[in-house]
Amino acid sequence: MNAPKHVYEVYIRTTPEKLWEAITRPEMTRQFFYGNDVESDWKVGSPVRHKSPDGKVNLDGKVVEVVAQRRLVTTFCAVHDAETAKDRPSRVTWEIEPRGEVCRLTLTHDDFDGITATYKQVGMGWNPVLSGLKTLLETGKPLVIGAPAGAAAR
Amino acid sequence: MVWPVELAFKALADRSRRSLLDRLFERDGQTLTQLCAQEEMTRFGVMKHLRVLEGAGLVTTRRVGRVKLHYLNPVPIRLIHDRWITKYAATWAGALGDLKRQLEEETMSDTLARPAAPARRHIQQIHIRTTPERLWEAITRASDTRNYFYGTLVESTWQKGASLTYRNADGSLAAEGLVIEADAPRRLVHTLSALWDDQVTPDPPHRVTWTIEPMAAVCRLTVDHEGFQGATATFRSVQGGLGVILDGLKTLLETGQPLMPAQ
Repeated sequence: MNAPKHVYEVYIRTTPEKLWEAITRPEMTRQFFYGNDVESDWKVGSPVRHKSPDGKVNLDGKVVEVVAQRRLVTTFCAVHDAETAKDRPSRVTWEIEPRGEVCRLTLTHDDFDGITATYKQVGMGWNPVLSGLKTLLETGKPLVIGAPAGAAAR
Repeated sequence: MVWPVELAFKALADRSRRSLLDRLFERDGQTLTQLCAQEEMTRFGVMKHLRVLEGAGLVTTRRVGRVKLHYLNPVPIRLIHDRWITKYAATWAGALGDLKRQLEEETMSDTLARPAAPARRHIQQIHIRTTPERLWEAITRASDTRNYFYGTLVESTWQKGASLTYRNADGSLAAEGLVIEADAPRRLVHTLSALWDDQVTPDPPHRVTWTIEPMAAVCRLTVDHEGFQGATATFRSVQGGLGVILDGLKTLLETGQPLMPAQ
């Protein structure tokens, strides 16, 4: 039986240093991560929180492993939603691999407790985050994803 | 913070909204007035539900002159099905052993139901800061594809039934297919026979659907490769290789430069 997991790969024209910064600093994450500021001292065992501008904690986790500019592993609990907040923490791994002028970023979200509400919800949720991260690093500007055109016109 | 799939689940939880989707499944591209005529709801109610469906990405709209046409967008439902329901189905079938095969044979003979055999599919989505017109152009024009599609040049008249080729710089064929549907700048459907190496060449053609949805200044592009007969060499190659194509397309459109230097 394959354990449920989501794996995403993104190629970004950037350096491992800048990519690491983008993932770990609030002034960067707020520009691509659903407007959330990340907060952590990035020491193993420390909390990692993604917060809305009003200070509300949306994602709560702990640092599991840190290899600066290469690999970051944290636990993940989507506490913003009553249903996903009940799931036990899952695991998110960011891996950075430089390839010439480009970095390959692999994001693996796994260690779900079966097919949980979290597993279902994050399936499509990581796409806009990773698209926004790539745009921010390559163009210096955030990717502002609006509602579908028809909905916005009304 | 709302993850998109949650919106789809919430939109589907309502009977009136499912009924509207059924109406669009029966006939795609209807006006508000046409939809109202088939529902026991006020015009305002239908409008309200259509707005929720649109917000969840289940319905897309297009203006033609003074009327607005509503189209079914099955992609979110497919994603839910593929990523979640098929996993449960596989578990049950595995536990039921021989009954599984029996059921499959029955399902196969029922033309209305999908076969339970594990037909493979690969769906990928990317958000790009561009217009639908420019994105369509980049997908269908050789001077763009050479900059992100493994250096290949695409060629077709993009008419229904026309042939389509991706050629390497030396003129050899990397892939070929037939255009099934071309609704610029929203939806392109074609078959694809992979010819890029000896492993993939014997595989039968599969089907590719490109769906472009504008979301304010950004377009969401969904690329759906389906109809693989199991985990074929082509399926594995697409699974591993589509990402770099889409990332290259995004970089090209957003920065004007190719992601990878030309080979």
